[in-house]
Amino acid sequence: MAIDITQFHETFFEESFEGLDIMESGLLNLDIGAADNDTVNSIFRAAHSIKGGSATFGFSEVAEFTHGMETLLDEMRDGSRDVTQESVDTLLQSVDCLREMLGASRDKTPIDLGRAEVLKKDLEKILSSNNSIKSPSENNDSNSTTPASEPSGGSGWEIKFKPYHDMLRTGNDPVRMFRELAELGELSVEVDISQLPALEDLDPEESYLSWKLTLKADVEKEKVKEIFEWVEDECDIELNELSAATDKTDNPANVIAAATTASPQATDKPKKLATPKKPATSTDSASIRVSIDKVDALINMVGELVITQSMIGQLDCDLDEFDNNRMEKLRDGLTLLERNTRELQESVMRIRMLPISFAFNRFPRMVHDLCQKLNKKIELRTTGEQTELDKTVMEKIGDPLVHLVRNSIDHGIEMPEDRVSANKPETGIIELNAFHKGGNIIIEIKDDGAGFNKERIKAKAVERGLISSDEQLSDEKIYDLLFQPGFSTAEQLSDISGRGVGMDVVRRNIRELGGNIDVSSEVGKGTTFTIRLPLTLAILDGQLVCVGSEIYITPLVSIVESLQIKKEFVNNIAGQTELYKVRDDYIPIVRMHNIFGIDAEQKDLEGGLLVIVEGDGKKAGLLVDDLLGQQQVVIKSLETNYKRVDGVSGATILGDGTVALILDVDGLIELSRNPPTSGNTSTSQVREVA
Amino acid sequence: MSNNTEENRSENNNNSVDCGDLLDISMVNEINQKLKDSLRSDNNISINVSNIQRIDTAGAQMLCAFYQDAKSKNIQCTWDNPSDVFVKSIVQLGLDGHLDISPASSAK
Repeated sequence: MAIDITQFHETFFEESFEGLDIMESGLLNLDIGAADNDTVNSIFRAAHSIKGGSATFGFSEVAEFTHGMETLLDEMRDGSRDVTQESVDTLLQSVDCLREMLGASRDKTPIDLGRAEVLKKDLEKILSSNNSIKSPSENNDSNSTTPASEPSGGSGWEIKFKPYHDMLRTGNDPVRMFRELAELGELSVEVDISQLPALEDLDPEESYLSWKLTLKADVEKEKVKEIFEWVEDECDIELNELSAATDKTDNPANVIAAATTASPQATDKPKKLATPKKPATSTDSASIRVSIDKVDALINMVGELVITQSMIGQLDCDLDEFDNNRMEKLRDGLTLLERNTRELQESVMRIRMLPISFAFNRFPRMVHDLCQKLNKKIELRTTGEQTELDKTVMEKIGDPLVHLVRNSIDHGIEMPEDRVSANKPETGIIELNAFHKGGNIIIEIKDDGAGFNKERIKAKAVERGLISSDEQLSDEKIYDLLFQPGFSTAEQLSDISGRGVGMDVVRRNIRELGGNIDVSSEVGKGTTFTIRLPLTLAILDGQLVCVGSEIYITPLVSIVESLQIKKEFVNNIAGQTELYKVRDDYIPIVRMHNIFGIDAEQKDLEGGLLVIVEGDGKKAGLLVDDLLGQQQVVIKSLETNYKRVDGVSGATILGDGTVALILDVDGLIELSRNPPTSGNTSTSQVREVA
Repeated sequence: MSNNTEENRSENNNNSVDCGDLLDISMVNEINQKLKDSLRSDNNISINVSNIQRIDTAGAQMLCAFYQDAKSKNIQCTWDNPSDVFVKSIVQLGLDGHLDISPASSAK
């Protein structure tokens, strides 16, 4: 019986995309001239697997293309070929090309063979160079592939530009790009409105137009590409030298056929000018890879359920003989069933959680490429890559992260010479940190660059009429201006404006996930963007505490200790703040009933229970009526279902069906130090929740 | 956005739509509804684009869809004193021909 091998295609593509990630990360980590054998071997093995798989499944173009990469890598790993910058760059471009080819094969769309042919020639050239690698300045022959020797457009460029539907939502605006193009020379614009729907069917935030632009100017391709570099992942774009484009129109011969008959110089140009399309990434996948540990835990849980079911089933034999002994067994069985069900639920939910490294993995390549383009030196450091995040949140946080990291690279980190003259290390540092805090996932994007100039932001805001010139603003309010629509795209404010990077869009996307973003910055020291994301599917180990008739959940990780208050250790400062002496520490007492406006049983401190908690490096003692049990709770977002409440990070549903609020320890400590003056207090908000 | 935007918009009547001073992606949904409402009336429509200080592709594209619809319904649509910024952006996007706007038609 014949096997339908198409059933394995999805697995093949998933594994191949993972292989490409391994190749890309390995290539970025290779030391030029002294490459680590293990790294070269792992890159080779990934290429070899892709080649083997694609040949097996009949993707012959992919197999043929990968063969050239594999040959070069094979020579590198057996030591017969040096690892050079040229070969690494070509292999990186080949990885991009391979990703596109695999994506096209998966989506059953035509493969861009033109780009593959050009890269194959580049690989062949390296293979035939017999290790005599020339520097770019020496390499002036007609086949050179370095950007420095790429031709200028001569009479100009023809640009075919078709934004993807979502491009406008990312804050990128063709008006601005075309304006920049027009500054390079004479620009004529031809718009195609054939895809534009009737107004009734129009989603005004989506893009439906496409353009053919003709730029008559003697400019290098790089100059033109630079204008579109922020949108290269968000559009189809084709750049053709004006004369070559005309030739192509006059003679629509098959590109590959032409490549075999004409000289390499003449045929390479138009194909080389194609800009990479949106790379397919493994996170786009509708499926999910789950570690064997998680699957094993799930199977164990199901096994436990079956045992419990049979245990309860045995009791069902004869209801007439249902004595106390059996009742006891039934209770035990139900307790077990409850525990198994809860653990099964947790195991299933954990399957959706992925390490944030899935989102972080794209950045080493991005930093590498942008550093080359901008001639900057930047080291990327990441921590907390294993912090788990829900898959949906992971996919949606990708684009905002890309915008923020790009901004840090382009506008945050200074040029090496500027850094040296400012007594800073030549190499800038961008840190990506992820960690759990107060029931949230925190992602920090931190750079040690120039920082924001608050006065310039204020001046710009005054100019735009957002604030009055005499308005006094806190730092927080000033940085909040960066997220105003249209503000971040201002050309004049060079330290915050990117070509189309809309910070308002970044914040909107994060808010759509129920999160928030904050900025802190110091001129000359750097900037930190802090993204706070809710853990909508997370499970929390909590301590149940009772205040009046309400039950609150305190995250166990935040609790240092619990103790009974002795009056002699209580001190008052200015008759207001109450401190409790714990060994050598003085800890502020937070009267929970005051903060949440509850009628508590224990208002007198003497004999009361104090739960000492720690958050953000600060300690506080929460005055509660009683300590109940500890249990795992499923966090439900309060922001999604109601609104944000200070001092509360979420809610959960207890076994008896009542809703209990989960305390945000950091927020509570902050609240006790700076109580809200009026109006939007936690007291009123919590009453509304109740 | 300046305060007079809302005031200007509140002056709309059945055959006039005021686009205010900002017509970018942050405003398109609001204006889109007004444009759709105006098309339902079958009256000739005047679009006030005289105050526009910023228009992006989303805004221009929406006006193009509106204008094409109006033409197909034989509703006459006029651009009221187009601002310089408006005309420049429309020309920059190559939409001037589709909106019957002459590059020299700006009022200020």
